Formats: sequence, C-alpha cells, structure tokens
Amino acid sequence: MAKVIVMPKLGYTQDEGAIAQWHKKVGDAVTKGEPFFDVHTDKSVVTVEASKSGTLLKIALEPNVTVPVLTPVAVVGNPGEDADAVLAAHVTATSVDADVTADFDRKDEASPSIQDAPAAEIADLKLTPRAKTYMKNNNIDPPSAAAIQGTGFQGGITERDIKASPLARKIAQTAGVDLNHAAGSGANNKIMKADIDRAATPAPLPVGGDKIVSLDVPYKGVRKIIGDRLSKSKFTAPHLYFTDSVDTTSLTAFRKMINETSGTKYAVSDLLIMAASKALRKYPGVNSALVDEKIITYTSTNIGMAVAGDNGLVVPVVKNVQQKSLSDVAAETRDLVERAKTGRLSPAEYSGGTFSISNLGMFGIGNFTAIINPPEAAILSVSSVRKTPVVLTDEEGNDTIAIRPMMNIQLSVDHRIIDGLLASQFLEYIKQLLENPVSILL
Amino acid sequence: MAGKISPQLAEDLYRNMWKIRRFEEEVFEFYKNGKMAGLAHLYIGEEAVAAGACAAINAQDYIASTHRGHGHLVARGADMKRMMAEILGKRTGYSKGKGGSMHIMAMDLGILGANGIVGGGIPTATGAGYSAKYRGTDQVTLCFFGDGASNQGTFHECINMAAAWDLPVVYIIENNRFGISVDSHRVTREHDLSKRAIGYGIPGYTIDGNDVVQVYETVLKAVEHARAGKGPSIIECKTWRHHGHNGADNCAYRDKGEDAAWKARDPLALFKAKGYLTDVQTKAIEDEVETEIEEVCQFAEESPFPDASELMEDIFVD
Amino acid sequence: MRKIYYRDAVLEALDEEMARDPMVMMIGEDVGINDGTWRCSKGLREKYGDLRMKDSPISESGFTGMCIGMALTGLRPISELMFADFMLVAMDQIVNQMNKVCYMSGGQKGLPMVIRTTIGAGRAAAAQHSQNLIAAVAHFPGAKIVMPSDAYTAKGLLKSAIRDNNPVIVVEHRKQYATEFDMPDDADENLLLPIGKSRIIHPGTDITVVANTYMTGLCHNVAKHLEKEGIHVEVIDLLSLVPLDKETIINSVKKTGKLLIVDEGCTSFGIGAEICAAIQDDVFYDLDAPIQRLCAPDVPIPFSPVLEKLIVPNENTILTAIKKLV
Repeated sequence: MAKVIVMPKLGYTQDEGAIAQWHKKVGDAVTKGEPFFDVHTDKSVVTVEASKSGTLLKIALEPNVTVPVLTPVAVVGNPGEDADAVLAAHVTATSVDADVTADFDRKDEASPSIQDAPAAEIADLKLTPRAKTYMKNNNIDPPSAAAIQGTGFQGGITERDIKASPLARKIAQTAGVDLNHAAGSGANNKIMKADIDRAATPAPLPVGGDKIVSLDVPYKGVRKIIGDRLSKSKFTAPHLYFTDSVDTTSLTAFRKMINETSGTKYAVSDLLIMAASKALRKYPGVNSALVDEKIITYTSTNIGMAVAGDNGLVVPVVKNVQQKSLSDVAAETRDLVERAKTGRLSPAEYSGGTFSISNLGMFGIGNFTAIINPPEAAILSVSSVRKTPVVLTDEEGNDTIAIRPMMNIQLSVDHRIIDGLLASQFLEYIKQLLENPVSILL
Repeated sequence: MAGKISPQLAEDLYRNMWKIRRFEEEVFEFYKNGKMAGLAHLYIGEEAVAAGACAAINAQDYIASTHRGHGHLVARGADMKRMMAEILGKRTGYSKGKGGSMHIMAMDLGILGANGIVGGGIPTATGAGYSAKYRGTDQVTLCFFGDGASNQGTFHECINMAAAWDLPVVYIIENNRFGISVDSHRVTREHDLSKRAIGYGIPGYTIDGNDVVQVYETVLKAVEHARAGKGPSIIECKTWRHHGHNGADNCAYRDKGEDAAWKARDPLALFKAKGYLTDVQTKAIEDEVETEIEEVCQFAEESPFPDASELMEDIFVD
Repeated sequence: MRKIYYRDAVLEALDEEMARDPMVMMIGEDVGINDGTWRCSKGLREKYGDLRMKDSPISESGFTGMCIGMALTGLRPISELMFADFMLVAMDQIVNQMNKVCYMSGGQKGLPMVIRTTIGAGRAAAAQHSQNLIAAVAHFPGAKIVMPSDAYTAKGLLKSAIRDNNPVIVVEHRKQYATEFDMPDDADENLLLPIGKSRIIHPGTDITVVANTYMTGLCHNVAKHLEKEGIHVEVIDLLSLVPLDKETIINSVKKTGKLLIVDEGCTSFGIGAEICAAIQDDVFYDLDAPIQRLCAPDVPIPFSPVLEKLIVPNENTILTAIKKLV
C-alpha cells in the first residue's frame, strides 16, 4: 500500500523545510532505517531515515524548494502502484500545534455589558463612581450635585459629600447659609454642624487697598454651573435677535377682566406662556432642539419661565402647556415659581423645556436680550410696559401720534435651527396674540 | 552464574526492548507528521537500560523517570495506548492530555512520573525511598536520570541524604554522553560518574548500558542491597542515543565514527546475538508487538482531544 | 480563655496532627534535636522518633522535593523552610513540581503536603532573610496559601493544611512566635479553620483595610484608636491568600467605598496589586476613591535598623494612610 511521505516537522519551532539532498532515486528500493533524504530545517541539516521499506515511486519535491512542513515530498510503495492517485487523494494535514488563525470578522457573543453607568450630563463635575451610583439610585440630577463641594480624591465629589451631613443640610437651609461658603472642619473639610453655625455669623470683611471688598465668595457651585452653561450656549449657538413692541392696552384690559370674573389672580406671565404655546404650535420649527447632529422638533410645548433664585437664574418648566387651560397654567406656575425662589424644585421640574420666556417687566427694564437656554432653540424676553409715543394709521391711511403702553419683546434664536423668516413670523404672531388676547384662549 | 537467565526472562527482556523500539519509532512518525506537538525525546538505542532495570524489581516497587522516559514506562508495563494518547494530547491519555510526553504518571504501577526538569525527579524518587522506610515496607525505588542530571544540585543533595539515612533507592545514571549537544567529557572531569559513589560512601558501578543482561544483574544486586536496608547505590550505564536530543537535532556535535561504532552495538542486535532466543522466537515476539503497536497507534489517533470545559479541572483534588 | 504563645499554638497543631495520623511527619533544618529554630517542634522528635521529625542537611531543594515523593506514596509530609527567602532555593521543586504534579497527572494524585515557612522584616536580618515574597509564589497555580495572624489562626489553619489533600503553604510571621495571644475555648484538637476564608476582626463603615499576619494586629490597633475620632475602620484579616476570599472583601468595599491594603511585601507585583485587580469589576461603581496599597517600597530590605524602619508599615504610617483615604 503506497504511502505519502511528507516534509517532516522535526523541530519545536520549525514551520518550513526544504530537501537538501535525496539519497534515493525513483525506482530505488528503500529500506527502513537507511538515510532517505536530508532536510534543511530552520536550524540545521538533518538526515531523515526511511520509516518504511518499499520502492520509491515518486519524488514530489525537488531540492532547495522551501515548503511548509507536512507538504508531500515523495511516495513509497510497491512497484506498479499509482503514485499520482495516492498523492491526489492525500489531504495535507495541519500540525496539531499550529497557531490559531486570526478571524477578525468573527461575530463573538456580545460580552456581558457592564451595568449602565448613570447618565452624566455634567462632564465638568468630578464624581466618584460611588457618587454617580448614589445619584442614579436616588434620582438626583447633576445640577443638584453641582452645589456640593467635593472632599474626595483629587477634590472629587463622593457619595458622602452628596449626602453631606443631613443635619448640616437642614440647618443650613433654615439658617439661610450657603453650604458652599461654609468652611468644613470635618475630616477632609467635610461640613459639620459646627461649621454651619459659624457660617451663619459672617466673619468681618477684609479691608485694605484701593477697593474695599464687600463680598468675597468663590465663583462656584450653582452659580458657576449656570454661568458655564450660559457661556456655552452663547458661544456655541449663533444667536439671532428679533425685536418688536407690543401694545398692551388690550392685554391689560383682558387680564383685569378675567381676574375680576374668575376671582383668581392671573399674571401676565401666565398669558405669555399660553401665547407662546399657541405660537409654538403654529410654528413648530421654533419648538426644536439640535441634539447629536439631529434637529428634533417636539409636539410638547414645555415652557420654561425664568425666575431669579437665590443663586442665580432658575427656569421651572410647565410641561405640555398645549393640553392645559389658563387656570392650570396659572396654578402650576405660581407653585413652581415660589419653590424656584427658595430652591425647592425637583430636577424634573427644571428640565425638559422646549422654549423659555424671560420676563423682567416687573423690574422696569426697557429692553433686553436673553441668552438661549440650551438645548432649546429660542427664548423670548419680555420687558416692562412704558408709555411710548407711537404712530397710528387709521383706515384712510392717516397717521397720528398717540401715547400707548408699549412693551418690548425680543426673540433670540439659534440660527443653526431657526432662520430669519421663521423667527419673524413667530414673533409677529406672538405680538398679534398679545394684542388680541382673546385669541390666546381660542 | 553471570549471564544465565531464565527463558521467560529472556523473552520478557526482548519483548520490552522491542516494544520500546517500535513505540518510539511510531512516536517519531507522529511527530514528523505534525500529529504530536511539543518535543519528542526518543529512547531509541537505550532500550537495554530500561528493560534490564525494570526486570529487576517487583510490582510494588517504584520508578521515577525523565524527559526521555517512554522507555522506562513501557518497560514497567504502562498501558501503551494511554501513553500514546497522552503523547498526542488526547483526553484518553494517562493525564487526560494535560501532562504530555514528559509528565506521564501511573501510580498504580508505581510510576512516580516522568519529569521535564533535568534532575527534577530525583528528590521525588528519594522521597519515595524515605516513605518506604518510614512505612516499614521493603519497597525499592529506581531513579533514572542522565549524565546531565548528575550535575544538578538535586543529585548531590538527594544521594547524600539517601546515603546518610540508608534509603532504599537505586540511582541509575543513563550516561549517553551528551546533554543535548554538550559532551559530558567537556564539562565533567571524572568520566566514570559512578565514582561519585565513593564520596557518598555507597556502592557504585559503571557498566555497559547496551548489555541488557548486565544491566539486569547489576540492578538486581543493588535492589537486593537496598531491600535489605543497606541503602542506595549508583549504577552508571554507558549507552548511546541513536537520534538527536529531539527531532530537529542532527547530532553534528557527535563524532561520526563513534556514532557508527555505538550504532553497531544496537542493544537489540546484541541481545539477539547472544542466542538466548531463537530466530523463530524473536520473530514471534516482533509480530506480536507489531499488532499491539498498530492498535496503540489507532487508539491514540482516534481518541478525542480534551474539551475546553476540562481546562480548569484537576488543579486540586477534593 | 487561656493564653498561649504563637509558637506553642503551632506546636499544639503539629503534636495533635502527628498523634492523630501516623503518616504525618516533618522534615527541615534544625527541627528535631534543636526543637526547631522557632521552637515550634519542641519535644516532637523525642515523642515521635527520628523518622517523623527529621533533621535535614542544608538541601532545601532536595528535602522539599522528597516530600513530593513521600506524598505520592502515602505520607503526609511537612517541609519546614526556615525563612521564606529559602523557598527560592527550592523554587523548582515547589512551583515546577509540587504545584503541578496533580494537574500534569490529570488528577491521578493530589499531593497532601505542607510547606511551613516564615516571613517578617523588622529585626535587621537584612535582604536575604527578611522578604515577604509569598505573592511571587502565589502566582503559580497549584498550591493553597494561608497566612495566620495569631495563635488561634496559626493552630486552626495549620491543622486544616495538614488535613488538606493538596499542597498548602503556611506562612508564619517571625515576630509573632514569642507573642502571647488569647486562645478561645474552641481551640481544641478539633479546631479546623477553613482555607479560603478571611475574617473581619474589626467592623466599620468608613473604610476597609485588608491586612495579613503581623500587619493585621497593627491595623487592628489603629482601628481601635480611630474609633475615638469617629472614624470607623473595617479591618479584614486576610488569612487565606490562595484561594482569595474575594466575597468578604467585595462586600466590605461595597459598604465603605474605600480600600487600603497593608502588606509587608514590596509594592509592585504584590498582594495589594492582586487584590486591587481581582475585585475591581465588582466594586467599580461603589468606589469613592481609588484602591490604595501600603507596602514596602521596591528595594532590597536594608540592614541598618534606621533604614529598615522606613520601609515596613507601622501603626503611624497605617494611620496616615487611612486618614488620607477617609
């Protein structure tokens, strides 16, 4: 029975070999144990003995041709056997210790995913993994955590910092002390009760130099967070501004009427919110956001009303105004604003807005420009009512000057999402609504 | 009378030597054909040492082997199928494929294990000797190792202790003259290694390792000495390996004339020439072994590899 | 509650196990006639005979390797390596042979042998007689490693080691042999402490400290002191290095969020490095700070006591390290 002789694997590290010399010719008798052929291995020339007796039927590899080990080199058998057939039928084996073949396209089982990290909107905050877990488990929004001074490794915010000392927190609230300004005497500057007490009594102010210091506080915490956010908004979104004036005669009369009729006190803000919602429904392009290279347009009109809180601007949001009545909005706004002023809003209550209104009318300002509240696309600023001389044109086209109670409104838009035409249309529509206030409720 | 052995012993000696020879040739075939991984250290040419020595001990005795250990295992009666399966890395092997050629152990036959570290098994064998003394049995341990191992620290440490405490161990140096490529004459001044026994105060013998009967008789003497509680001996068997240290070795470091001279003294041919057995008898043995070898190779080739799930098992027992 | 010296607790364990099982024996340098360098085998040669309490020549590789042959053939030998530094002389027999015999034989035979060795810097024994190098040995799979920290655990762990059917390395601390400890009433001839379990010797909530052998006692002292400052330290006594009781450590770190590992060995590639990596997946989101290690710097142990004091963790450096983390 003819046998295929292969290039032998002789060495531990040998992957290839070449015949250096045949000691037999085709047709010669081969005896077991005699030198058969010499092989160049990676290290030396080795004489290979025949392991079987027979006749050399075929030489399949000439000298000095390098081949992988286990490649056929000859056929030994009985005279007359079909060497070619035997060779053809031979399957070249792979060495049992061959390297694993790379298969980069193989679809491995998905590796078990590590538990989802709590979403962090706040890349600026240095939170320990434990702190993040705590926040996730207790629905604490990042901006809340921003108010905390970190005492952890490299100043990071630890779980304990977030919890702080419950006693300290409570007392701080009552005493109206800003925890950020209370120096901590606990381990690693943790704020303890004693620190709160001390902070409630302000230290004497430093005097000296040309400028007398009246207040010296670190720019950090909520103020810094808000400040950073607004900076980011202003520097990222190309703001475009549109201004108009609203004749508030009808608005004032309307408000007086519904207040008398219902017995509830409706604020101008309530009407502004309703008007904005209606306008956003008519011009949904303004009720949009640019998120991850996508412009998303919402059907919910979630209107934020900017409020001056203790630490800066807070914007509580009335959600889904499009589904609410004026009285709903009024009640909700009243509650939200009150709590916003005292810092008692939950995270859900100051997030998720699609449009904001900043009404500084009560402070008597003539005109001002607001910065868009990211990730929203626009913000409406509302100034105070001032008696202003205006030109009125009657039906015949005759112009007269009259004194009207005019209120400036300004729309700031993100020009990446909203262009001039849309902004103009939107603002004019708001003006129309405010000058014909019954239409707000229709 | 020296040289007189029973017909049964003559057959057993020849059969074991032939088995070893054929087994090793098939190991080499597997290796050349890529079916055996790792390293193959062939015993071809040294068969007389294993066969002669193992014939001199009983079933309850122990042996410790080396990286070039297939010969000792076969001579001791190990199951060649399980040996070959182990050598090919199959799960039906003695060690479920986890040990390989150099680490086969078969405690039921008193085979304490082959060892991949040169001289690494000498302490184990010595410990078995201590254990026999401790337990008060008359078990003897044969400790096989080479000229290379005789220069390891453990050689000195262990033979010293065995000698000091009369441990029943027979230390058999298979001196095939070369530690891979290094001629022992170049790294050892005293070429007759058994003379070291003088330093330990124990008997030492240097003999022709290719004369299976001389090996048998000398080992038997040392075994009886040990069994009688008189302690260890060193037996140096001068021999020669036909092949290189392992497969890729072309033995360029050996003198061709010397090589030819030793190969002309093939232990199997030498034994046949002594006439203990007739040609008919030797042929019958060879045929019998051939059938067995075929079955061994078939079993090993057809056996499955271990499953990935077995990887972490057998580090510890319960 | 009786009082007992650590070395006598070891002696009790040896005596009880040798009495209980005639196959138990010990071999090592000076263990017999001299009662053992550390006095742990006092009187045992007289009681059990020369073969069972064998004075060896200075051949660590030889006699440790012999224990392998003994364990294969029915005995339950203990090799005493006087200093852990000498394990390095016998390293081939330990990690190439002892650790691998069971696996290489496909589980045919476990080796019921024990290596008893000692660690402990701080006595000016210099670089080759002071190392805690056990982490290097732990890197080789195939042997269990225990590290008792007082008389109770020295006795209980050694008895368990002797009865285990696999190789166990028992690491005793030289500074503790001559220390007296309280010995609970359950420390009788049946005391078998489980291999693979750590224990909490001081519960706490603010930080977890893992220590071994002599360091455990120091950390315990520091923890007791820090209670007064309102810092609650949880001290875990490692006791078992291989297998590592990850569960106990993980549960503790989940509670405290901070971990300090105290160990006498060198900092790099040591016990601290292993514990840190081993539990990382399980405690990542529970951490309030990165895991810290307080170990010896990476330097051969100096001879001069002034220098040596700088490198071995002590109560002051432990206190500082805890406070930095808390």
